[in-house]
Amino acid sequence: MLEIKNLSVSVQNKIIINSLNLEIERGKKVAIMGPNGSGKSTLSNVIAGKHGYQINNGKIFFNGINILELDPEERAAKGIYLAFQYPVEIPGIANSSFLRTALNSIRKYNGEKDLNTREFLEECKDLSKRLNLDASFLSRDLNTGFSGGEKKKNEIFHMLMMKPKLCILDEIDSGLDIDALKVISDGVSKYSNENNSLLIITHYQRLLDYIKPDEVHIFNEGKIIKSGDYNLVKTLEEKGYQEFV
Amino acid sequence: MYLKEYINKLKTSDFIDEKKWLDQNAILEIISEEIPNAGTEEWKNFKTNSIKETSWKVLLENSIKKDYIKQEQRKLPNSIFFIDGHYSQEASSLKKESSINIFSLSDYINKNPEFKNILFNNPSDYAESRLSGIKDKKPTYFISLNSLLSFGTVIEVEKAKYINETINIIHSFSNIEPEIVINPYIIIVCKEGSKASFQEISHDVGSWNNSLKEIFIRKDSNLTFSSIQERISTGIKTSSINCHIDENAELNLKVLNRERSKEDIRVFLNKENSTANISGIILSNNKDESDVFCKVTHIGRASKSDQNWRLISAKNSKTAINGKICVNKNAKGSDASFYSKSLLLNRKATSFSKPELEILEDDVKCKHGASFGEIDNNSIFYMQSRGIKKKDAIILLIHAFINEIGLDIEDNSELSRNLIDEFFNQINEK
Ligand SMILES: Nc1ncnc2c1ncn2[C@@H]1O[C@H](COP(=O)(O)OP(=O)(O)OP(=O)(O)O)[C@@H](O)[C@H]1O
Ligand SMILES: [Mg+2]
Repeated sequence: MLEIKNLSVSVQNKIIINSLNLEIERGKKVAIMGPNGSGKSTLSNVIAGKHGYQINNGKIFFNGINILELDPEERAAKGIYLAFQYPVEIPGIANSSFLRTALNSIRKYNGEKDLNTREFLEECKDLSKRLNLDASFLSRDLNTGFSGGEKKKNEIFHMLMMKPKLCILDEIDSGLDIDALKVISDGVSKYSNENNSLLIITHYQRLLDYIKPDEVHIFNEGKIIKSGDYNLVKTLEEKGYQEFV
Repeated sequence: MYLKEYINKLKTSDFIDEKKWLDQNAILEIISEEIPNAGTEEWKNFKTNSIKETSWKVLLENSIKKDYIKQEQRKLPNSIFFIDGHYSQEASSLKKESSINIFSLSDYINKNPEFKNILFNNPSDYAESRLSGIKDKKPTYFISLNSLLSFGTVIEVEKAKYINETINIIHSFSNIEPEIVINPYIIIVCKEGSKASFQEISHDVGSWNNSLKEIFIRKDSNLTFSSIQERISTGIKTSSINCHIDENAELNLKVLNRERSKEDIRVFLNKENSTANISGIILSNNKDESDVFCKVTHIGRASKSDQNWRLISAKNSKTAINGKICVNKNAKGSDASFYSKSLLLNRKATSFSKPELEILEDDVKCKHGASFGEIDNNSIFYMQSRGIKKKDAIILLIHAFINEIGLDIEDNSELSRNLIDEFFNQINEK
């Protein structure tokens, strides 16, 4: 589904991603762990298409298409979703109307007609209930005044409504209480199937205990320094990054 | 008739009979008043050259064509129509049982002689001092001019009546000659214990629209007043709103100002527990200026005021808000706040925000703040990453910025679209 080839990215002439190769197959759950500042969010942003990075080298293929030339919204329309480490507060736009605009925009891009508003709202309500997110979050301004955990839940709420093919979860577990972590992990696990893929960026074992990744990569200074399966998480938890760098 | 000619006639002829509620001395004084210039505090962000340099004509009588009235009338139910600044009963569509009464100012004064004193507290000054007895003489040329040129229409909300449906006040203009000054003069009286909501919409006018509103909110009453200016294509707008608020009464004032417009708002919290919530949007595009001066005076104890402004400047334009809070001695326990947020869509665009406090009482709470910024790139990316096109994201963000004020603007997205063209081209070039 996603294939990153020899990718090098810098910001203000400082190399952040360094000749990275990574493949995520359809139906797979891939985790990336790595110390602060190692370039994990940069990688997510580059996949999602954020401007302001110098792409020095390399290609990113999504279902066979090199997406580096595409705008972020085109990537979203093709099924790439990024749950932000720091979701942005946008006062003045209601959460649900934002989401509906987003969904309709993607539908338009894919040549489909607009959503039925009533069905959309019903789905919103059902889902927010499942995520234990109060219905008031639908009408509140987008992320505005949401607590840290609520923002993260809302990112998953958007994801499950948008039904993307590739879900990039950038530290979705930070700031979540134990119950919220479980609810979110459940939501993500249930969503995961043989047709979509997950890229999970995290610092903690707990989320991975729930989601059970197929592959785990350790990331440092913009590249993968160690790959393995779920057992790598345990080693890491015991010994820390020191063992690998 | 030319404006100058008309004013000279007023000074001498029988014209004065029609304006007999005005004080002769007051008229003489006004005529000597100058159009304010940038040297005056209230006007320093707005150029009056184009007003000074034009030989304005006045529209004295109602010369509106019948078919024009019909054409306007179809548009909105529950509306009070002003055509070329004059109230048009024919075009209006107010419901009979609406609990709203409409009078000409002279009729109203005949019926309620005490109202003359209320309105022209101190007629020899005929400046701001005529309002609520506050001595603060400043150039109010436009207010004065307006009262001279226009007869005034009183809209009265009956005592103890709650009107749930919003009433529209529509200003439309049949005469498209560019050098005409139009002077709608509206007095709103909300009698004791009443509640009403008005939405005033001024259509595009190609000439000079110089409007005055005097709003009286009596004890225990509540008024929501939204004033929305549609796009101003070639004309200019000057406007004054004076509000007088009594005990336990509340004003919710919302304004939308744009392009070549100057708004002067004075709010007097006259009595205990009077409240004013003022919010507004100030937009400007191209090389235009849109400027608001808003002064809130706390006189009554425990009076509350809140100002919340959003300014958007596009291209080479300028927006400005000068928010003044005065708390008089003895207005104990008053609470006042001012906040403004400016959005600049272009490097060459400018915005001014000047909160000013004049506090003569110790026992008060006052806060103020202003922020300035551009459209946030992180917000744009966040929206794009959810599938929204960059241009639409920017429109939505402008939209959202405007929405924070909670003004119902129909052409909201059209409006945002107009503002962003240049901006969008510019960021795309980068
Ligand atoms: N726009 C930028 N300008 C300057 N430096 C940047 C910018 N974006 C990222 N960096 C730098 O790139 C490095 C990688 O940042 P990134 O956010 O990708 O780290 P991370 O692995 O996600 O860290 P964390 O675990 O703390 O979230 C950091 O040193 C950061 O300061
Ligand atoms: Mg990060």
